[in-house]
Amino acid sequence: MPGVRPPQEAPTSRSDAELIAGLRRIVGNEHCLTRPEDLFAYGCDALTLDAQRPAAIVLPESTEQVASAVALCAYLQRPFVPRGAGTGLSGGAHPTPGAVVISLTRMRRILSIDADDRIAIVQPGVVNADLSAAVAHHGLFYAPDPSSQQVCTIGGNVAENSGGPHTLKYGTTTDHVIALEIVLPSGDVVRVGSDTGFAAGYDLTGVAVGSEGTLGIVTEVTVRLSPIPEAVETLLAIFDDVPSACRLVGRIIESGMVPASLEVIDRRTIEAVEASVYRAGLPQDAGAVLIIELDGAACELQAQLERVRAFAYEEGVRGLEVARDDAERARFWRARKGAFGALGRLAPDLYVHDAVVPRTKLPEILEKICEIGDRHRLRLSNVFHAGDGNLHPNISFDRRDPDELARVIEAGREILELCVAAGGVLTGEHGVGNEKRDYMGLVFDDVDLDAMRRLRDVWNPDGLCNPDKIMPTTRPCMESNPKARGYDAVPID
Amino acid sequence: MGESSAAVRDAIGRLLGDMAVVLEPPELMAGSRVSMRIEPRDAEALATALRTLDSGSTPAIITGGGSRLGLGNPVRGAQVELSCVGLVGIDELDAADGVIRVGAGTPLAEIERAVRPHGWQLPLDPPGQGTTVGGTLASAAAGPRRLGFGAARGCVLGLDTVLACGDRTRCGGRVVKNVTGYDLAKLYVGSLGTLGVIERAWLRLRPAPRSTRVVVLSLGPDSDPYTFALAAARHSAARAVALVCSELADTHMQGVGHPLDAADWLLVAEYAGDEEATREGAERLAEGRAASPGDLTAIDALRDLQGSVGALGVRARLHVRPSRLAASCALLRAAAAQLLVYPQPGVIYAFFDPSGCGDEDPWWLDGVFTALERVRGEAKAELVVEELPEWGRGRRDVFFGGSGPLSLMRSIKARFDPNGTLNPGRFVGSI
Ligand SMILES: Cc1cc2nc3c(=O)[nH]c(=O)nc-3n(C[C@H](O)[C@H](O)[C@H](O)COP(=O)(O)OP(=O)(O)OC[C@H]3O[C@@H](n4cnc5c(N)ncnc54)[C@H](O)[C@@H]3O)c2cc1C
Repeated sequence: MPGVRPPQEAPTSRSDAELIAGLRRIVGNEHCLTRPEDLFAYGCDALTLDAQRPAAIVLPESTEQVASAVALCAYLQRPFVPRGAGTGLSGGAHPTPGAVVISLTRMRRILSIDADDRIAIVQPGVVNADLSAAVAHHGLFYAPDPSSQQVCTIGGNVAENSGGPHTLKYGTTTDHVIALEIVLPSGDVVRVGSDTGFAAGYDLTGVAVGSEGTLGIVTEVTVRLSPIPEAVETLLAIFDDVPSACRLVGRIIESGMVPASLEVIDRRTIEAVEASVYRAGLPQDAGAVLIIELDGAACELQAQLERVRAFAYEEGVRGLEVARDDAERARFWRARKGAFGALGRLAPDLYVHDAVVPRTKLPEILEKICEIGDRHRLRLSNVFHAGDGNLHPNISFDRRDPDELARVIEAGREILELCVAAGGVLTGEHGVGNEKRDYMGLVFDDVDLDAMRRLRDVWNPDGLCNPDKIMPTTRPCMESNPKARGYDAVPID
Repeated sequence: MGESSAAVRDAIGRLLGDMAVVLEPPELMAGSRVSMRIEPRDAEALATALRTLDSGSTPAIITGGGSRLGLGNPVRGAQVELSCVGLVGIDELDAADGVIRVGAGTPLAEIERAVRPHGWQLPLDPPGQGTTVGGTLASAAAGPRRLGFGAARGCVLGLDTVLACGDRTRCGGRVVKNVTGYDLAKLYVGSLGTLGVIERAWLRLRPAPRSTRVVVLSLGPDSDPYTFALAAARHSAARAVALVCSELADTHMQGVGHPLDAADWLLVAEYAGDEEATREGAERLAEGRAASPGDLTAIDALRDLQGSVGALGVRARLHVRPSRLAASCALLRAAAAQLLVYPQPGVIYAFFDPSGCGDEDPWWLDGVFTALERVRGEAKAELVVEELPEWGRGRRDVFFGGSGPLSLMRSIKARFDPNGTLNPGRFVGSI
C-alpha cells in the first residue's frame, strides 16, 4: 500500500464543476465541502495507511437529499462513498480519487422508540452509544457495542456488521437489525425487512448488513432493543501468560456458561494502558488479564461466579478481582476499551488487525503471531475477544519509515495466512474494505467470489457505489486454492 | 417429458447411475408431475445433476426430508425431483468450540443425538418427522423454541451450496464470528431452494441447559392472555412460551395433563438454564394460579400442533409486533380461526377448518384469504399460508406478494438461476 498522498489542488475540471454545482443545489452550499483541508480530512477512515482525494463531501439531512445526490452521481457516472463517523479500520469509507463522499452524520435523529415492542427506528448517523443512552430509562439498551461506540454511527455498524466485547452472548449487529430503508445506487429508495422481524421474501436485510456500503446507502435502521440484565458481575483475572488465560476461557465455555464477555489483554497492552490516561491499576508484571463479564437473572449469577472462580484457581490464576460496584466495573473496562487509544500513543501510527481462528487454536496462534512481530522487529501487542476467537494484533509503527512500513505490511500478510491456515478467516468485525480485498483468495475461490459478484451486481450494476471494496482486484493463485485445500479443515497437530 | 427433457433424463441416468430413478408412472409433487427422482450422494454428483438439468432447461423440485413440500406456491413445470436426503453425514464435530459440519440431508434428530453427549444442543426444532438440515434452512423453519433458539439463520456459520449452473460455492466458514465477504448464507436461508441447493453447513451449537422446567396452566375469560404470556416469555430463562386456544388444546394437548375446564387458553411455558433461573421462572409464572408441572412432551405436542393441518384446512403463519397480538387474534377469531400463539417474537399460527362447508369450496378459501388480508392491513402483520388443500394450490400467492422490493428479488433470482431450474414459481410473487 502506498503512503499517504498530500492533498492536491482543489477540483477544477469541468465535470467536477458541474457535479459540485448539482450537489450544492441538493444539500445547500454549506453542506457541500470542497476545500482542500476537507478533502484531506475525508481522504481516509481510521485505516490511515492509504488516502485518496475525493471530489467533494456532501452532508445530506434527509433520505430525499441522499437519493438526489446518488441519482446525480449515477447520472454523471461518478463514484460515491457512504461514510459515517470514519472510525472504520479496513478502509471501507476510503474514497476512490474523484469520488463523492456522502457523509450521513447530519442524519442523527432517533425517529421512534417503542419500549413495549422493544424496537427503535433511527437515522444512520445516530451515534451507537447515544441510542443506548436514549432508551436506558425504559430498562433497555442497544446490544452491539463496538469499542468505538462513543463516536461510531449505527449506519457504519450496519455496513460493517460490527461486533463488540459483548458479541459473545448478544451477537453482532445483524442479530439486532430487522428492517432498513436503503437508497439504491440508482437513486431509488427501497424498504427491506419488517418491524415484525419477518418479511416474506429473500432476506435482503440480512445481506445488506455487513455489505460495507457497496449495495446502497442506508438511510433508516429499525433495531431491536434488549432488556438491561437484572444483574452483572465483572471479574478481572490476572495470569502469568496468555495461554493460561485462554485455558480459563475454554473451561468456562466448555462448562456450558455463556458469559457476556471474555476479553484478553496481553502484557504489552497492559504496559501501554498503564502508561496512559486509561490507567486501570493493572499489575504491570502480569502476562495477561482476562475480563469476564457474566449477566442475567440475579438468582443464577452467584453460582456462576463461584464456578468461574473455581476454574480460575484450577488454571493457576495469579489474582482475581470481582468488581464491587459500577465504578470498579468501569475501571476494568477502561483498560479494555481504552487499549487502542493507549497503544496509539506508543508510536505515530497504529495498525489494528482483525482476524478470527477457532477458539481452541488461540494459544498456539498467538504465540506464532508474536514470533512474526519479533521477526519483523515490530512492536506488536494483542487485545482480543477470546470467547469467539477474534484476534486484534496491533502494530505500533511510524509510516514515515518506509522500511518499517514494508515490514508492517508483510507481517500483516503473514498473520492473515497463519489464521486462515488454522481454519480461520480474514476478519471478524472490521470488514474487508480495501485493506483485505486482495486476500479474499485465501478464503474463497473464484467461483465463490463470483457468487458474491452476482449479488453485488444486482444492487450496484455500475459499480459506482463504494468501488474497490470487498472484491479482489487480483485472481486467487492456484497453489493455495482454498477449495482444493478443503477450506477450513483444521490441520491436526 | 418433452423431447429435450427426455434427453436430459437419459444423460442424467448415464452420468449418475443408481442415483437417478425413473418414476413410472410420474408422481404429483408440489404442483408438478415428476418423472425422475435424483438422489445425489455427494457434492460432485449434485453439481453434475444440476449442470445437466440447467443446460437442458429442465426445472427441478428441490427436496429435503419432504416435510415441508407444501410450503410455497406450486412449482412450475418441474419434471424432476432433486432430493438432498443422500447428502448425509456429520463431517466434523468440534466439541470444544461447539460447531459442527453436516451434510444437508442429515436429519436433525441424528445431529441432536451426536452432540448431546458433549453437552451441546442444536438450536433448531421445527416440526416434522425426518426433517433435514437442508430443508430446515431452506425454509427458515422454527419451532416452539424459537424464543430461546432465535431464527434458523442465527446458527448458520457457513454454507456450501451448488448453484443452478453446477458451480460449487462456499460462503462463511467454521468460525463463530465472520464478516469476510458478503453474507450470502442469509440469502440462501429461507429462499426455499430457489437460488441454490444447500449441500453442507457449518452450524453453531448451544450449550445444553443444566435444567429445564415446563409449566402448564389455563387462562380464563377474565384474564388478558397476551400480556400474561408476554411477561412469561420475557423471563431471561424462558425458552418456549405458547398460548393454545381451547379448541386446539382439546384436540391436540390432551396429553399434557392439565385440566382445561372452562378455560379460553392453555399456556405452556418452558424454562431452560441454570437450576436457580428455571425454578424462579416457573415459580413466578405459577404464582397464585392453578398450574401443573409439565414435561417435555408438552413441547413436543406444541411442535406437532404447529405442523398439523386440520381436516385439509388452511394453516397460516402471521408475524406481528407483540403489542398487536390482541388485535390480530381478535380479527382471526372473528374469522373462525383456531390459534396457536407464540407471544414473543409475535408469531401466530391460524388454523382454518373447512368442515361444514361443501367440498372444495372456493368461496370458503377466498374468505380465508380475505380475512388474512385484513389482519395484514389492520394489524400490519406479515404472513404466509403454509398449508392449504391440494385443490386450492395455485389460486393465490401464499406469500401475499411478499414484502419488500419484488423487482430486486426477481433480479437476484435471475442472476443466481437464470434458466429457472431451481423450484421455479415456488417463492414470493411466483419467483
Ligand atoms: C478505537 C476503535 C475501536 C473500534 N472497536 C471496534 C469494535 O469493538 N468492534 C467493531 O466491530 N469495530 C470496531 N471498530 C471499527 C469501527 O468503529 C466500526 O467498523 C464502526 O462500525 C464504523 O462506524 P463508522 O460510523 O465510523 O463508519 P465509517 O468508518 O464511516 O464507515 C464504515 C463503512 O460503512 C459504510 N457506511 C457508513 N455509513 C453508511 C450508511 N449509512 N449506509 C451504507 N454504508 C455506510 C462506509 O462506506 C464504510 O464502508 C473500532 C474502531 C476504532 C477506531
